[in-house]
This record gives sequence, C-alpha cells and structure tokens, in this order.
Amino acid sequence: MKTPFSKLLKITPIFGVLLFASCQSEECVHCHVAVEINGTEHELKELGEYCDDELKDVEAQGYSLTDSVFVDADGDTLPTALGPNDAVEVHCGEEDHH
Amino acid sequence: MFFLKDLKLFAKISAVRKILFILIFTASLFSEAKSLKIIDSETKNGVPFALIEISDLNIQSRSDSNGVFQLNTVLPRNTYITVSASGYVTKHVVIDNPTTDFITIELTKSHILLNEVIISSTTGIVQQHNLSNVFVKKISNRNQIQSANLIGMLSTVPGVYSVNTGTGISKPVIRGMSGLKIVTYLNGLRIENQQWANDHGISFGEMGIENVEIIKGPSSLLYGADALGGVLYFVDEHYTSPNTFVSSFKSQFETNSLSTNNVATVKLSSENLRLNVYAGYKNCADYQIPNGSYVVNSRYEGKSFKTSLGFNKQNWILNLRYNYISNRIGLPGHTHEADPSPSDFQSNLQNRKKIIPLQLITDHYLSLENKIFIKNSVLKLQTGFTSNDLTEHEEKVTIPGIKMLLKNIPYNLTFKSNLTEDIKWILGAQGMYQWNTNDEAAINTLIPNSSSIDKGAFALLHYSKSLFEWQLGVRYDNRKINADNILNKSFSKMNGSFGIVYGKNNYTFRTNITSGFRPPHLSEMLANGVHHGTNRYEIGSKDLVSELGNQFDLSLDYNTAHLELCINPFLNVFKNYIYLKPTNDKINDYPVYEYSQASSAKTYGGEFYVHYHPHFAHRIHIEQDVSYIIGKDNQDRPLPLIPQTRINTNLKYEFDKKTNNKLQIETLILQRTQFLAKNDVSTYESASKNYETYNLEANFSHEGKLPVFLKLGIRNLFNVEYINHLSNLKGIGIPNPGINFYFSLQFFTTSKS
Repeated sequence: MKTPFSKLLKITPIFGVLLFASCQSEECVHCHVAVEINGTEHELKELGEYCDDELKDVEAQGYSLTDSVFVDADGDTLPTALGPNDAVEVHCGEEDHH
Repeated sequence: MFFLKDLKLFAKISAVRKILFILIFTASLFSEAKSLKIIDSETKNGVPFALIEISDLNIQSRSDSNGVFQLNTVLPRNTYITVSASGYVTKHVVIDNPTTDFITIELTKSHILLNEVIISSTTGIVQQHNLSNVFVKKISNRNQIQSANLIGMLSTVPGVYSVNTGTGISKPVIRGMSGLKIVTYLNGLRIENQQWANDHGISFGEMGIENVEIIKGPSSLLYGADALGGVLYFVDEHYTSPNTFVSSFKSQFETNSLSTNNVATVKLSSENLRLNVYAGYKNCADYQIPNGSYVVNSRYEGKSFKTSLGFNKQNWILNLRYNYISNRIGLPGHTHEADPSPSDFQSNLQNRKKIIPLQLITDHYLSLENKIFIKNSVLKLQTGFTSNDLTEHEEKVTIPGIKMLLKNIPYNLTFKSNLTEDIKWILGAQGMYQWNTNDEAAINTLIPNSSSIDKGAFALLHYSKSLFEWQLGVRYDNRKINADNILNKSFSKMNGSFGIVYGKNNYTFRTNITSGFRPPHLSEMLANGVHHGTNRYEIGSKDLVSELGNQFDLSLDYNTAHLELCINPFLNVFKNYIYLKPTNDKINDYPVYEYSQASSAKTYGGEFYVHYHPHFAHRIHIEQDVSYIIGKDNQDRPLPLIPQTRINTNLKYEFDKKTNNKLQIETLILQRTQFLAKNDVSTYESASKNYETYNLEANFSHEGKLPVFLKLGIRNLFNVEYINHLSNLKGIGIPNPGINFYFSLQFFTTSKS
C-alpha cells in the first residue's frame, strides 16, 4: 500500500520544474549616452547591447566625449553644444517607448 | 481539591501503582474517540459530506456518505470542532473527554445560513462573540470575484481599501490608516517589510491562504506597538485529513496585462504528521488603460514557495512553516522630461522585459509554533525569523540605488485558561529583535543601519453570562531603537481595552474602547535623501515622539435566516499624529516632504452592511456595504490620503447542483463598486472624481474522478477610465486598468490509504 509520503516522491519533479524555470539567464540590455540640459534628457549616441561584466564596467566607468557634439541621436540640434569636458551619462536598461 | 487528595495518597502507594496513576492521569489530558458521527437533529440520520474543521490541528475534511468521519488521530482535550453542511446551521463544539468510540454531533436544519460560525485564530473565541471589531474574510472561497492581488481581495471588506502603484504594488488601508500604522501577521508571525514607504507593498499573495482576520482600529492589547490603525492576521489553508493525499494545479490568465499565475499544491497526512507544499509563479506585462495605451514599466514577476509541517502527539501540537518569496516589480512613473505629461508614461507597445527603475524583493519567513494542552488551559509558544531583502535600481542596472536587509526575530508566549465556565483569561508576553543593514554597494542610504528591541506583556479577562459578555485587558510595551550611534531612544506605553457584547433574539450590540501606540520609525526620524520609488526628497525629524490612538467603536447587528444587517460607527482620536507634509521647496529637482507631527487628529465615520436573501427567491443573494471616513487634524483641516466614500453592491445567483458527470454552473456574480467624489482634501492634494465600475463572473465545477473548477470573468466591464484617490500614480495622471477578461482553471486529485 502506497503511503502518502511515498506519493510525495512522484510529484517532487513538478516542484523541481517550477524551481528550475526560475533560473536566471544571461542579463543583456541596451545602453546609450545621454545628457540633461535644462531639465530635459537628450540621447546622444546608442552604445549597443552590453551583458554581465561588460555591463557592470560600462555603468561604473561611464563615458567621455572626445569631440564637440551639436546634435542628438535623432539629428536634432541640442540647446547647448557639448565639448569633451562636459559630463554625460550612460543609461542602460531603459525602454524606448516612443 | 481532587488534586491535593491525590498527592497525599500518592505518597503512600507502591511504585507500580504510582506508574499506573501517572499513565491514567496523563491519559485524561487527551481524547480517545475514534470517530465523529454527524446526524440530523430531527431524523437522526447521518448527514453526508459534512465539512469538519478541527482548528487546533488545522485539519479540514468531510464526513462520508453516512455522516461518519474517522479521526485517525488523537485529539487534544478541549479541542474545538466546527461542523457545517448545506441546509444546516453550522455547529461549533468543544470536545472534552468522551468515553465512547463515537462522538455524535447533531445538526439543525436551516433554510439558509447567512452568518458562518468562525473561530478567531487570534483569540480562540467564536468570532460573533469577539468584543473587538474583527472581520473575517475567506480568501479560499472560490465563489467570489477574483481580484488582481491579495490586497485587492480585502478591498471589498467595509472600511478596508488599498494604496496601489499600478497593479504590482498594493498596501492595505484600514479606516484611512496605512503603512507603519498597520501590522501584518502570517500564522502568528509578524511580517516586517520596510512598510514605511508607500511603494513597499505586502509581498506574499493568496497562495495557500485560507482567510484573513481584519481588526479595525488601535489593537495594541494583543498585537503590541505599531497596531494603531489595525491588524491583518492571515491564516494558512488547513491540512488534509489523516491518511489522505490531495494535489491540485491552478492556472490563471488575464487579458489586460497578459498575466499568468500558476500554483501547484500538495497536501498529505498520516496519523500524526501533516504536510502542505505550494509552489507558484506569476508574470505580468504592462497593464492597459481605457484609451488602449499601456503604462510603461508597470510589469512584474513573482516566484513563491511555501511549506508547513504539522505534528501532534497526545496533548502537544507543533507547526513548522516556511515561505520563500521573490519579486521583481517595475516602478512606473519614471521619466527624464522636465515637465512630463501623462503620455510620457504610456506606450503603444506592451512589454514584460525587465527594465529600470525596479524593485527586487526576496523574503524568507520561518515560524515554529508549539501548543500544549493542560486540562482547561492552552500554552502557546511561537517564535520565528523573517528576512526582507529590498533592492531598488533607479538609474543603474548593476548598481543599486538602495539595498537594505531587514531581519526580525519575534516571539509570542500566551497562556489561555478557562477559570470557570463563564470566565476565560489570557496572559501573554511578546517581543522582537529587529536589525536593518544597508549594502555598501548601494548609491544612496535612505535610513542608517539600526537595531531595535521590543518587549511587551498583557493580561486579558473575558466574562460571559447569559446575554452579556465583557472583556477587559491591559498591556505594557517598550521599544529601544539604536541607529549607528546617531540615535539611541526608548519608548514605553501602557495600553488597554474594554468591550461589551449583548446578544438577544436576532440582535447583537457590541461596543468597545481600545488604545494603541506607535513609536516613530527611523525613516520618520532620520530620512534625508531621495526616495526614487516615490519621486520625493524626504526629511525626517529626531524630535518626533510616540503616536497615541484611542478608538470608540459601536456596532449593531441584526441576523435572521433572510437578512443580515450591520451598522458600525467609530471615532478614532490621535495624539502626536505623524504625517508626511509636502513643502514648497525642491532639492535636486525633487519636491521636498518633511515628517511632521500634529498635536492631535481624528478620524471618524462608519460602515454599513446588508445581506438580503429573499425567501421567495432563495438562490439570490443581494449584498451592499458602504464605507465612510473623515480625517481632520488639530486645526480641523483634512488629513491627507483619506479614502473616498465607497458603495459596494453584489448580486449573486447560486445554481442548483445536480449529481451528474458534467461541467455545471455554480454561481453568477455581478458586482458594482462606486467611489464618491472627494473634495475635502489636504494642502497640495488634489480632489478626486466620482466613478463606478462593474465586474461580472461565472463559476463552474465538475465533480468526478478528476474534479475541476473553472472561473470566467470580466473586471471593469464598461472600460471606465478612473483614478482612485489613493493611487500612487494619481499625481502623474495615470488611470487604473481598463477592461480585463480573465479565466482560471483548477483541478484536484484526492486519494486515501
């Protein structure tokens, strides 16, 4: 006669499946360079997709402009031109919802 | 007297006889009946498939077709058993010391039962006799409108609302009070989850929850400091009956957020050992608002695992429980626009992929409960451990904005005893040790590392005689807080409670006066920074003192076979009321809010409830409840975040159940909820409009070798656009969800050995 606890062994795989389904996969997100001028953010350049350790590095190190920049990533003129000494930020993992 | 005589005799008799005496004496502490027999009081025939609940062992099962239920376990003495069956009045009995193999329980026929007999898990008293204002909501009842989440289900209880950030974050509101003023328990374990912030909701869902007891108003007597606004006491589902194996799988889907929710359950029991195991996974995309757009980053994902192990031996019961919850919750309302409009937070595309800003929450709850039955008394010792790991990523995916780990070790010791047939008393001691640490990798530290120690003791006396019952209790609490050597404070208070219940014929009149207190939280005293989850710069004050509250509550209940009526006005008076006051200032473009203290404040109002079941149409149930609250400070100005007046109306039709092997409809429910306009608002708060929504649901079942339960429904049937006054997205003009079609399918297996 099967005891209730011996039946537990049969359904354990169900819980195993559910737990394994929760395993984390590689984390990859898109990053871009942005600057805030007069309270509004302007996207300057798309950096592409970064994953795991590379993602950590690009967020920690940030980005430095090498040349002057006059337009944003869409080609629109910026309110103020930017030079190599101006601070810009790296933004990752944000959704483009427009 | 008997005991003293025994001791004198004991000294004179031989060793063998002494051993026999001990065995007989110990044996008198537990019941040895083998079966329960449930019979009709008139015909004396067995009542088939009656529902039997043994609350002390947390077992629920059914009698067989002859009304017999095999116990297969030893019952502790003076254990409560509740027996209910369709067409009969629910009976609640105390099993003392039977001498027969059968315990016979007679049920009286009833046309309809409107008012279920429930034993309060918190006091052990039948709920109708509870002198505190306790409302029991049955979460496991499958014939009720499905809500988006657990707190949403509670929002149909008079006086209870929810503060929401989209559909992923919900916090309970009881008579206008929320956050730190509400204490949450899960099977007697106090849950701490950084509830000081408006965007830190309750992380566990309805998986494996049987019911919740909602205590409205100051409740420090039984629940200690912080229970100023009320208490939510969640109780897990029952174990299955001995030598039974039950499994089920439930799958839910909703169209509005393309959400899926799957739960697998296993319950098994032997004679002395019982086990419940649950696993669940939920995933929701951004929700859709009535104009067809989606609210960006209102998505969330959650995994949960839960198990409980019950063991009983003679007069000892043990329960060991563990919960694991892991949630990823998007935080809508994020923008880099200087002057955003509602459209900046909406999209034509629906997504569920992880983006920032978001919250990551991992909770562990472990509890150990021991009950020992000694003659007419019960000694209960409960302890446990909770851990809440809260991480918020605001601007960086790999670097947290805030990351805090809150750990808590609570304990609860109570001794309940029946002094006489009329007098019951409860003595108790409670406390907890809590500590919070910030991760150094986080960019911001909103509150410093800290620890606190709570200690409390109480005594409660309950007297019942004839038509009257009264209850008197007193309690003392102390809390010591230490924060990284920045702050070292101690807060103490005595509290009390007194109540009377008078019941005659169909009327029950209940009145009570209760007090509570709440020491200021570290976030209120030491906050100094941006809280991105609420888009505010918050500043605390070290000068805050404890909040005090007194509630005067009256209720009049009228119950017949066809009508249930309840009128429940209340008045809450607070001293040193703490609230978050908006200022005209900005720091780093964030609006500044300061924690302030008003010398006094009050909330008052009432709840009205009616349940009508016409005799001429006995399958129809009409329910309506009204909740009304006003909040004023010491200058008679409106308090912030007081809910709108709400009118809930439910129309339910119960279909006749046929014994065939087909899918058949059980119930059809139409629900209307109206929120009246709110124009008496505090400074910097905006008014809210009147709105009404409709929900419709049909429930089906199939009883056979593989029982199935199917639910089909529609929420916000007419796709009404509305923003609730308590919504955290109100300030950015984002409405609540639009029309939502949903279904859930659940199937069960049961086997006995």
